[in-house]
Amino acid sequence: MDYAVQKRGRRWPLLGWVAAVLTLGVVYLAFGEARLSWGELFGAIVAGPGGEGFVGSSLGAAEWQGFVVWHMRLPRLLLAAVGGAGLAVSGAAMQALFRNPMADPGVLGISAGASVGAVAALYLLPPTWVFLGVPVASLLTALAATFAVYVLAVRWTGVGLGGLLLSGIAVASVASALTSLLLSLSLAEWEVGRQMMHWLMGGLEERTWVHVAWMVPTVLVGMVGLCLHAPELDALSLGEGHAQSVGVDVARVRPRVLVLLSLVTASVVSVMGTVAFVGLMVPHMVRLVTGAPHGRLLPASMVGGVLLLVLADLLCRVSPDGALKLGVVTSLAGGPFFLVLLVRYGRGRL
Amino acid sequence: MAPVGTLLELENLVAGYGGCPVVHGVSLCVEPGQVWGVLGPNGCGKTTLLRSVLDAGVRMGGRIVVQGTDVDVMGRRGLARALAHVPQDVPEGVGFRVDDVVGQGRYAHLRRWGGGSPDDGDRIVRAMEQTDVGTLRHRQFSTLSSGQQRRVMLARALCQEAPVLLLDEPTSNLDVEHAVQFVRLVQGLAASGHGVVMSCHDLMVAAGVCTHVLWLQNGRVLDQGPVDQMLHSRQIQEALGVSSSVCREGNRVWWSLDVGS
Repeated sequence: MDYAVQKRGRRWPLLGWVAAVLTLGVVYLAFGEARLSWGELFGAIVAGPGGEGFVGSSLGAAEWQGFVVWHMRLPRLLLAAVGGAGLAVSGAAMQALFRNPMADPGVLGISAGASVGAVAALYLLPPTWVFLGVPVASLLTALAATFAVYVLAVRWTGVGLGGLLLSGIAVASVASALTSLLLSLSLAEWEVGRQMMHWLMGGLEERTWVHVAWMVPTVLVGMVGLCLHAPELDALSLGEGHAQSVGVDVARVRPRVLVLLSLVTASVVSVMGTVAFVGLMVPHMVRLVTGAPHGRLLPASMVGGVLLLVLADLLCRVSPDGALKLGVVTSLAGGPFFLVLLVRYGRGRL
Repeated sequence: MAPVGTLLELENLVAGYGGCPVVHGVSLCVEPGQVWGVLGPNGCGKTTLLRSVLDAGVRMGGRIVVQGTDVDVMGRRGLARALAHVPQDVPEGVGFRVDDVVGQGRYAHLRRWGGGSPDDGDRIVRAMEQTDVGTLRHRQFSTLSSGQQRRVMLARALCQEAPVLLLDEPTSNLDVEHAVQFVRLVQGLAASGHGVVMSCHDLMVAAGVCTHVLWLQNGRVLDQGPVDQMLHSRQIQEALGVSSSVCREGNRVWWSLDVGS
């Protein structure tokens, strides 16, 4: 239990983490279906983004490499990094808000809600609209699901935490039933069904700068907002009464944090699909080093989320035939981690 | 700190849960230097009375005025600078160090964007020394004993530098030495002009530290007044149903209890 005691004396090794993130980013850009040498990568980066034109056979090797780096790998890298940071930070905030170490963004029905919108967009929209229709629709349904969870819980029990968790389960089960229904309706159409399965498994294939522009600003603003609430989250993790007694306006802060973290999570999920366990896993790993105070936990979770998701997506990209999906990688790693957590929780160590 | 005038006024306070009142029409005036003991059997409304000051959801009627201002028009942070409440339950606080927990008491003094002030650290250390948890400052809060945790929570409240303290069963889980230390601490606070309201089951502590007593029974005031008129055997018999007597001579408190059948 003294893990945090030993480690906290040291100064936060910020430079080390920045270096780790940058190194991983460079490796991410170099590896993939086409392996660029370090020199080629450097050249492509220095040359800057070329035209966004269609990659034709007429392109020379250098232009083609520039296109791959600037228009295929870099947006995907940014999405993985910002998405990982967003999921991790909102997971950490949620665990404080619910005072439950097992809380993650799935709890409020966000992921299930996002899935309904994405699948419905794929089912209803003509193929040319799917590109932006899916993220827009899934963001809307994710926020609608969260709002429903919140309103149900308030009607039911006040802003009690138990009510939020239970109505979250109820809304999520309705949403995932709808998702299954839409999926079974479209199984006859091979292509639509395939796209739905793709989205549900979560991943960053074929994402572009348009997705970056859609997701990154919201997530960045939301993350800054959550970090500014670090003192309130500290107080809330001791419980409502104790937060109130030091002057936290629980009735206002709780919905505000809920809005921020649902915005962050819903934006991320709307672009990359349901990527499980990042919001659960990262804060717990980070907490072993930083302890629970959110002034350190939230920024460190961002770094952890960036590293985890960029690494996971790198694995997906170098896997043969792209067989590995982002959601599959995080769940494969997350399931066992969750079990370890449960065992430790049982021993009262979490 | 030089608080002038009445620190806390409860006027005909009604409080309870889910539309069902637990406290019926309690009035109380706390002046600087006063230590009020709220005494009574389990379930008589002591905790609800203390909670209702901060928690508008529990309040059902009546008026609460803190240092001349109605609590309904005070901001939460302003209220926390005027009044600190230590609830009865001790939180789990997993992953927080003792000084993290105590430091939370500075929340109401944080500037909106700029964080804490440079002497926050000194205030935190001083508060920890006042409740004798300075040596535990680097320990994990969740690994402490309940008595130690209670003292940490008290230090957290002292950090708020509020003139009014509401303490819910502050001495439960404390060993005798720390109970006596607590008595001295509260006496010191009262001497410096604080007002304290504490619920308590320990008649010895009440006799040792309280200047005034409010007896509650079924949510109603049975009797209230200066301590030397409130701890007679007759009143204890009536409120708690036991044959007991408490008396104080100088700095010694004598307490006797008839346990016979």
